[in-house]
Amino acid sequence: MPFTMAAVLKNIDLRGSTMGSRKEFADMVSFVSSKNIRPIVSRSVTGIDNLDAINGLFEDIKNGSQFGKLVIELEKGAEASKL
Amino acid sequence: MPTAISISKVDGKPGQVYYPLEKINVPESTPKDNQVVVKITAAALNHRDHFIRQHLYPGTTFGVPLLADGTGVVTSTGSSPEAKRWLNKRVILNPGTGWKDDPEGPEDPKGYAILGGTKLNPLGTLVESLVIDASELEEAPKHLSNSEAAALPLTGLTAWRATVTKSGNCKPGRNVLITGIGGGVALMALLFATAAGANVFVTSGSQEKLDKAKKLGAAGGAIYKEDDWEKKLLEQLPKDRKFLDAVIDGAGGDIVAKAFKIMKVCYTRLPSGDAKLTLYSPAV
Repeated sequence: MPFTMAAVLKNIDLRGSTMGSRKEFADMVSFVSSKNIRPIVSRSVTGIDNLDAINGLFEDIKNGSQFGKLVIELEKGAEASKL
Repeated sequence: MPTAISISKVDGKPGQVYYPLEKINVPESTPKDNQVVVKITAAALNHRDHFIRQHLYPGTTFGVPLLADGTGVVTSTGSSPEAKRWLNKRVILNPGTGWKDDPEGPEDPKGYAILGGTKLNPLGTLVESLVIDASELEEAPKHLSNSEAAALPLTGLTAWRATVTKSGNCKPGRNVLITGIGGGVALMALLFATAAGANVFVTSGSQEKLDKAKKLGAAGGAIYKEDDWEKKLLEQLPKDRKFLDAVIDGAGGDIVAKAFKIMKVCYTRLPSGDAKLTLYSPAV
C-alpha cells in the first residue's frame, strides 16, 4: 500500500492500530453501557457440541457474508430463561 | 472436566490446510486467591479464528480452546476480597493479556497475548468454564443479551483504540470514513463514532450492507468496487465540511491513494488536530 507524496503534502498522519490495553477495554465497556450501544450480531448458533453449526459460522467468515458478529451460545434457551 | 472446542492436527501446509474442529476436555482447576471461575454462556468468532484454522496466525496450536470473545457468570472465586466481589455476576472477559495502560503499546516485551487457539495464551472462550484473574473482568452491560455481550470484547476493543484513541476524530461534527462495513471492527467503529456525534460514512462491496449501515446511523456511503467511489462520497459530505477528518480502514489496498484526495489539508496551526488515516489489524 503506497503512502503517496500527495498524502504527505496534505500532512496526513498514517497510524497503525491493533487491539488495545486493559484500560481501553474498561473505557470501551463503560462507553457501551452509558450510550446503550448494542453490538451487531449477524447470527448465533446454540451448543458447544454442535460442530456442524459452528463450522457454518466459519463458512460465513470465509465467504464474507456476515454483517456483524458470529456467536455460539453455550446453553439452550439461556436467553429465554433470563426473561 | 469442562468441554472445549479446539482445532485438531491434520497434514497440510499453512494456507492450504483447514484444521477440523475437535471436542476436547480441559483440566479442571481451582481458582487461586485472585482468580474466579467463569461459566461461559456465549462466545464469538473473529477473523483470527479463520486464520488459525489455516495455520496462518502467529502461535497457532492444538489443544487450546478456540476464540477470544466470551461472556459468562462467575460461579466460584478465590479467597481475596477482589475475587469474591464478582461471585454470581454476569461478566465479559478482557480478550488478552500483557497490556495494562500504556498508550503506546503493550508493556509486556512478548506483546499482547490474545485468548484462543494459540500457544501464547492457555485460555480460550469456546469452553464450558474457565479460571481467570478477577482483574480481567468487566461487568457485562445490563442492556445486552448474552449474544450481544459475547460480540463485544475484541472488536469493541480494537475499534475503540482505532477510532477513539488513535483517530482523535471520534467527536461531534467530524467526518469519519469507515471502510469495509460489515466486519465486526468496522461496525463497532460505526456505533462508537455515531454515538459520539460524528458524521460517519462507510464503504462496502455491497449496496445491501451500505443500506444496513445507514439504518445503524451512517450518514452516507459508497461502493468501493466503483472506480470513482471517493467522488461519490465527496458529494454526500455536509456542505460546510467538504472533507474527511479521519479514515478507519482494515483492508489497505488503494485506500491512501483514494481517500487522501478528499481528506482535510492539515496545517499544524489548526487547533482541531490533524487528519488521521488509521489502519487496524484485519485479523480481528
